[in-house]
Amino acid sequence: MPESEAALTASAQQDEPVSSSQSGADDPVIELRGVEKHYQMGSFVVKALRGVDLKIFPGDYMSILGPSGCGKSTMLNILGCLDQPSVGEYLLDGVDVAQLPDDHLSSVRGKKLGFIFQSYNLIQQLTVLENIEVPLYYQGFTEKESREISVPLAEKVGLVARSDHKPTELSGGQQQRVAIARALANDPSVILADEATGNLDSKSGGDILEIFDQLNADGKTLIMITHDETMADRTSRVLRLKDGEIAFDTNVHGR
Amino acid sequence: MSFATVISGSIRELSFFRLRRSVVLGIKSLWMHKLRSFLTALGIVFGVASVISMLAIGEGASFEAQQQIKDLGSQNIILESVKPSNTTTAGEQERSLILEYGLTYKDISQIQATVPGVEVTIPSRQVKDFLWNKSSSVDGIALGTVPWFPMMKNRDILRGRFFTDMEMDDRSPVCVLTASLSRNLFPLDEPIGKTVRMQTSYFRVVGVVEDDRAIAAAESEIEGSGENSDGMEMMIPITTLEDHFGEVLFKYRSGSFEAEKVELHEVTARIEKPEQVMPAAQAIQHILERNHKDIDYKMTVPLDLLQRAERTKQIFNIVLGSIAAISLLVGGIGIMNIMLATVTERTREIGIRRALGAKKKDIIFQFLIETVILSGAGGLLGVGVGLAIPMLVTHFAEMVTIIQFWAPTLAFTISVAIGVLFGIYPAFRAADMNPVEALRHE
Repeated sequence: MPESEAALTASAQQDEPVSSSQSGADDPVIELRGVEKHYQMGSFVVKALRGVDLKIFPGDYMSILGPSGCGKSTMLNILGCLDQPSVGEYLLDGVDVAQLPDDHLSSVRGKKLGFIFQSYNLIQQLTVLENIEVPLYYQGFTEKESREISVPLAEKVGLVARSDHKPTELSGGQQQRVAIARALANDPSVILADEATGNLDSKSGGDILEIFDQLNADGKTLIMITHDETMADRTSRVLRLKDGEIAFDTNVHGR
Repeated sequence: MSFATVISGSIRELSFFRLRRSVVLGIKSLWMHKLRSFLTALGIVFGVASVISMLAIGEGASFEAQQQIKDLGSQNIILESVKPSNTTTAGEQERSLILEYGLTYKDISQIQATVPGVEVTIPSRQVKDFLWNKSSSVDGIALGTVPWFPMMKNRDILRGRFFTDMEMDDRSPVCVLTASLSRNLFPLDEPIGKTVRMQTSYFRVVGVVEDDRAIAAAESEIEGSGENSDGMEMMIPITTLEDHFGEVLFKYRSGSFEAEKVELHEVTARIEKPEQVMPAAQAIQHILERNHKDIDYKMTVPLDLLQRAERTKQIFNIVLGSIAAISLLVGGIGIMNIMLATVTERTREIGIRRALGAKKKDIIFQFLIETVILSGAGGLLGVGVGLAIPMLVTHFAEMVTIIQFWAPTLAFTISVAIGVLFGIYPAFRAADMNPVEALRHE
């Protein structure tokens, strides 16, 4: 994969994110105010999140860590607008999305968020390029416009030679790179990665992390959910969750 | 989210290109499970094919029946003399040697005088005996009638001419043969100009008319009579018949002797306007009931038969239509079943699409399109099969089949409608999935 390596020569600039985040750090891109999430389990109410206050700034490179059951997944679902908080406010780009109707949430996801999943979640019947174009399709881009966006993205993740392959014909690392390209297609404000390297061997996982570093260096805001401490070391900000609360936050901005 | 808002929303955002992409995507998804998609569509194929072929066969059958009735003339009322059955024969006639029955000239004059709208009556008498050409003979009928007989009966003259008014007035010994009689008596020769003998009288052939298929078919359907003399008719002026054979007809058959006196064997009354036919038929019925103690006549009203055939056809169509509709319904249920399985199987894909910005209506639309593609493709294939089956039926069973231009269109439209109808529930189920749970689905 020489292209990918070529694209990632800037991975040495690992210290850069701090400066990039500072440059665009006027307003937080994400702000949670007293967010709680309750689940009804039979007659019990389980509080998965108990009053989370959090600001994430443009250009942040953040990992969310914690043992299983700490509320990581709930956090991701709420940040990803896949689920709504029971209590509290969630401002995304200054707009409260906590209680938006379903259709609006779909638009928010489609326009402002990029998702990268542990199991890649590519659509099996579509080719690499078509998979990258899925978010664009729902934003009403034409086929031609989509192609103009998807081809450079395939190039960026080093898969232009496999543009017309189906996901089943790709390795795990390659599939995850398609997923990254797909997450970038809408030029989202925030990219959410859920255990993005969990299914990969260390070599492929390393490649993916290098891409993340590069994206952050380019100014993208990345949030990674992980239980892997070594991944957390790469990120500029680490958030630890415990029992639905923030236990530790290396808030480099001090705000 | 109601269906109406989804549809109106979809239509608003529906450009041709978007639809085309959705269709391409749908085909791709269906293509992933080729066999399953094919088998599912097969239900619709058979449904549509059965709709089209059943309509074609039903239409063809009723067309044939109606054609036979129309050949009798829809504005005609046909009266025939029938030998009364022995039980109803009155005592006084039993003593007489000559059996007297049937329609009389008195009936005709009364009908003409009192029933409104009766245009012309074609009286006819017949004598059954052997017809001879030199030494070859055929068991046939001499039919005494009037010159306007072929016109009223919708029978074409194949060769020569029919006899004229003048020949009737002159009581000329001329005759016109039916095609089948001509074939039997003159298999090789040209019949026109030859003579045909019945008993001791000779008649010159002036023309050949086509066989009365309508009556032959109708009679064989109603009574199942299989007399050989059917259709073997020699038509002569009714005046000539009276001259040569008299009023009393003698029959010598198989050693027994029989004498009959029948004034008229058949009378066809033509009614001026179609709407007068049924009242006229009732009026004639009254006259005949008054004049005849025994039921020694038979009245046939082709229009009545036609209307009855029409009603039968309606029932036939409803029955066939219901059977076909049920098969389409079964096809639709099959489609729904498979789509529900597909939705469950593709839960994860639905979750992914929702995460990537798909609204509920996008998901509904995607699955609805897939269902419609499935049922539409089945419908198209079904139209092909449905057009082929009537051809095979016509070819092998020699039945008339008629494919009405609207039948394939209707069947195809129904198949698409079934796609929409049975696609709604699975599509809504797909859209109503919780994205979080859908993404977690294995």
